[in-house]
Amino acid sequence: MVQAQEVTDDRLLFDKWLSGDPAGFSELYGRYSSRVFGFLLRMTGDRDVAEDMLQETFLAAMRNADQFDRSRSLLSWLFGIAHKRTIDYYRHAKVESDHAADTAGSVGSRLDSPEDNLANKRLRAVVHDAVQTLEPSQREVFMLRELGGVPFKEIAEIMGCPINTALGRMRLALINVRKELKKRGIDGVQ
Amino acid sequence: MECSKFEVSGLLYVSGELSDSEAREYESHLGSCEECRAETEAYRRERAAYYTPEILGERPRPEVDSEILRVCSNPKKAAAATFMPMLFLKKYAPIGVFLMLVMVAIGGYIRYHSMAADDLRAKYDAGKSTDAVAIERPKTAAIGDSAQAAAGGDEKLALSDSAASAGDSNAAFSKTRGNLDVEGVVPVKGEGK
Repeated sequence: MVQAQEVTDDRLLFDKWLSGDPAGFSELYGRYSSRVFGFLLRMTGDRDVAEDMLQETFLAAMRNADQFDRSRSLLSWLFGIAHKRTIDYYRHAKVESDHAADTAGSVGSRLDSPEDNLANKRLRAVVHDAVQTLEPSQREVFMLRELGGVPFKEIAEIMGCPINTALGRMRLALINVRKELKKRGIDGVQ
Repeated sequence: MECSKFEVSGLLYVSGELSDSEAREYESHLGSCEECRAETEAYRRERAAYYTPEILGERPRPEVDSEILRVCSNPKKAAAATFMPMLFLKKYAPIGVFLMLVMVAIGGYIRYHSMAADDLRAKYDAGKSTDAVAIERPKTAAIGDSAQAAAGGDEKLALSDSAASAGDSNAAFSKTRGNLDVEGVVPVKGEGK
């Protein structure tokens, strides 16, 4: 219900922006930029690259506003564009093989925002480290689903695979993240 | 034996992607499958506690936010707008600064040496003109001598005559120098070497 309300709001804000009101974009950006950026950062492991890709993602979205399918959520659409950017990144940079090694220490260190308390900071760092250990295809499904709220059917479309493959990757991602959390002292939620 | 129902129906159920009838079917399965019930509950709890936008989301640097808001806020401008390439700048700015410093250093070096060369040239030119005067002295002395000889002892008259007959400034100069030479002031012949 909440999600349906959010989708309607998104469309209203999107139309507001298209009609020339900058407040529409500011609101949408404030709502979704951290999720899209979180996804890009997890996928690239490089904050500078992710920031450039965030710019490209929003610019591509604005330039192709007429291609936005209003039956889908705006966030799914943004994540679809962001996904294409990560594919380009992997294709050109060929960093997939040493991705995990590059990102193991570099990503978790800059997660803090001023309002985070120590416990939250630690939790964020631990969850991020756990997610970072996932194999890229599992990590992508996980992030699309959990951060982007993208339905599995759309994840399958975005990734160009059958829905059962996407579900299988998600299942493995959940098992692996759970194991990693346990290793780091977080043993399930009661 | 492991139940595989959670992997498909369970994930879709938690995500709210099952139809009403499919959801009811899965719920009835949960009543009989302890494993799927435990998995479904664990996933729900984990989502609520860990897999939230607050935990998984990230904020870019404020300048990136500002740049995106600047460029994208106006849909008419967004079509032609370009971003400041943060990565490019970060990667290549140090190289640019280094090249600029190298160019400044090279420019300074060239400037310094051209100034030094100008000084040397000026000194050389000044030295050359002094030498030229010095080299001329014997000539004027010779002219003086010849004038002296021609006058047969009356120096001043002979020099005046020789200057007058030459009718130019050189001759006049020779006359003066000749006078000096006559008085034995400039013994320059040996210095020109």
